[in-house]
Amino acid sequence: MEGPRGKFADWVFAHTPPHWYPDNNFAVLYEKSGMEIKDYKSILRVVENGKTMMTKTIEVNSPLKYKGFVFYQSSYDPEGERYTGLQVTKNPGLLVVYTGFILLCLGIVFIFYVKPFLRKMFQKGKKIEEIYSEEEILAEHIE
Amino acid sequence: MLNLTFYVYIAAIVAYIVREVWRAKTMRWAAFGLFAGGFILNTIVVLNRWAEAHHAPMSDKYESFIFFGWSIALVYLIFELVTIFIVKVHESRLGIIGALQGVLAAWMICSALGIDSTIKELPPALQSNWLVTHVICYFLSYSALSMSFSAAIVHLVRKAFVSDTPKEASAAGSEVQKKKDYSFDKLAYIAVSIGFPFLTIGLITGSIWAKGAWGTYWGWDPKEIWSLISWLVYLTYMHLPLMLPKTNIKKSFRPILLSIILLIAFPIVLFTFMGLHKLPSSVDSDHIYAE
Repeated sequence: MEGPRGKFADWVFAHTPPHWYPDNNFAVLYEKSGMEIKDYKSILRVVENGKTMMTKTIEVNSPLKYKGFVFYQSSYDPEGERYTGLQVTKNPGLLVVYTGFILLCLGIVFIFYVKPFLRKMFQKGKKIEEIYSEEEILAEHIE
Repeated sequence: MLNLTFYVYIAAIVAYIVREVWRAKTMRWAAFGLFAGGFILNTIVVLNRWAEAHHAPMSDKYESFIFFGWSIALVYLIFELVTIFIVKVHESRLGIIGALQGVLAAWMICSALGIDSTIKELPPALQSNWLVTHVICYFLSYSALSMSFSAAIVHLVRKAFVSDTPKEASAAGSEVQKKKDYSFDKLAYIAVSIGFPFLTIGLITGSIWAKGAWGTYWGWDPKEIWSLISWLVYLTYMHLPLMLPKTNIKKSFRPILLSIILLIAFPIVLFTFMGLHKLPSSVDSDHIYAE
């Protein structure tokens, strides 16, 4: 059986062809290795106005993205192969959050390492007491 | 191999304690060499595991204990090399911290010794490149924070039992010497200023990863909550020195208060790392490593 990552030999539960559900919009693939679940995947098909826009096999770390909606593989049926658990999210503010993340990282690096360095560079020749306040000297153990 | 690593770490602890008492130059390098030897053995264990398991060796309890021991040793050795060769402070100052860090590393290896070490498949959520970035950031951070914990202990013990360095004897020569002496609260501050950025980056990479794997940045899972708590405690530690002058707390008590905060903070970090298995609410959390 051909899987998304090449040939798979150990599709214990695999349906060939993948078992499409009644509404024909998703199918579940099962792959087992030993006693533990190695991976669970679903084949999703996006249908818009009767036309198939997109088909993708999703798994836990690789969701399907379509027009701002993201479809995640979130759970599976532990007893059989009757359903797949999907999570659908829409996050218009994603960019803001990620910008915040980046700013937070940059800010912390800036405060701890870049700022003391810049201060020293621009205020060369001045005494430490002129650059920093007394509290800052105590707080940051500046000598 | 793991047993050998453990014994070498124990030997390193003894050597560091001896070095504190008997400050000879040969002893200094003997202790350093023993710790470095333990670190090399630990590296071999980690690499060996990596090759056997075909995934980064940081997913279950066994692997993460070994990896934490490794990163503790790495961070300490870097600290010692920097203090000897770059900052050029009095070399024996770091000694007793070496012993404490050795105890931590040996403890981690010891916990790994009693644990089931069979190689398991990575659960689906961990099959991602974020695993390496996220986990390495956290372990580097934890190791640096453990340095600050040890430094805070030594600082408090010295405050309690050793009288302050004689101020009368501050002739021109000893003034320079004093400046080169490492005060332990400064060391703790430096350790936090290295550990905290990594803690933040670890938190954020974890969040981004969770978004890709589960669809939410923040699921209020116990591990996430506790890592947020430890982050906030260190944030408090960083901000307090600027706040304290505005309060009525006595000036001589302030460094002690900061050290006490560090003493509280690191156990929280350790609890985040290995204590959550005991919480009833964490049963179905994805952060709990396979038992």
